[in-house]
Amino acid sequence: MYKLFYRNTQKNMENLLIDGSNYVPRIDYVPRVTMNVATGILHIEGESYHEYTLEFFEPIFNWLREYMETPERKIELNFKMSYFNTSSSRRFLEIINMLQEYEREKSGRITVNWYYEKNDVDMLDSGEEYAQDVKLEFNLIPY
Amino acid sequence: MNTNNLSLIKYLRDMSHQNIILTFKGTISQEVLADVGVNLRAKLGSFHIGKRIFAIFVELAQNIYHHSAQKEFSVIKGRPSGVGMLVIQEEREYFILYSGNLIENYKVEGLRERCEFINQMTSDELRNYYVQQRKRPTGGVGANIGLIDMARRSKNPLQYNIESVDDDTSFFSLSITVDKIEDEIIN
Repeated sequence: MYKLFYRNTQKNMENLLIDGSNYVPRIDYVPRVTMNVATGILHIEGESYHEYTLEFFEPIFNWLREYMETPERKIELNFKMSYFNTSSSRRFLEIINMLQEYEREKSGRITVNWYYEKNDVDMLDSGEEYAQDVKLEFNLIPY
Repeated sequence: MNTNNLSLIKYLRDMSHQNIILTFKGTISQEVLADVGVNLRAKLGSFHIGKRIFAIFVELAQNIYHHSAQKEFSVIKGRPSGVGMLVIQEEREYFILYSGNLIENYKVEGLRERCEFINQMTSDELRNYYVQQRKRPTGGVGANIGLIDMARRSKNPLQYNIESVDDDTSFFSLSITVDKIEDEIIN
């Protein structure tokens, strides 16, 4: 259903791209997700209100699990969301917790950047609610 | 002529008198939700609260999919989905979003307690409750924080009503009021 480039082999791990707007008809309720093997830079942006987020986020969790099998990697996770539902909010927390565990147990070097539109106080609050609970480099960045 | 025939013009006039800007009954597909959402936000574009209203609308709709006791098989989704009603009413100083659906009777007490618990909280307490509940694992498909999220976004108490329907089910109606921001009220 989604445009998905992902192969489940450690040696040939590929970049992950999920983009609902490439689909016909376009899908507006999933975020655009890009995960780059070479740079460790991940982007999750746009809107997210899939009703079955567990299913939507599964390839993202799988990609991360595989990527984090190798210790000491540098990962930069960029959230640039304009809206997400409560179900996505749980999945984001799970992703952030996975990264924290990787930093703690496998010496990963993690940065989380939480971008929010400068007038969007609700989105800033959301970022602060994640930041307060994790011991990671967590930046709140207005745009 | 069938005397049971629904008079749509009367129906529309009634809705218009009650300032109803949107109404839906059935099982709402993800596509319809997205479509309605885009239109709703375009319509509320001048309101800072447009985004909050959309967010509440999504939570209400998804509560119905996941928690309504009445299910229908959705061809698009390829699985059973909850059936219910959604209504949005626009008054001069506020919007009200309504949802209505059947729930199993054994859930009634828990739901009532949860609503009451949320309603006696300050905004700081709600924030902490949200963060704390989000960390707890859930058994089901829902995030279990929708009611808290709606109370926070609306900045008003959850208004709800539960009426017994039969031995197994009750009808749960929930209404969420979102005040317009003063500058945006057109006199």
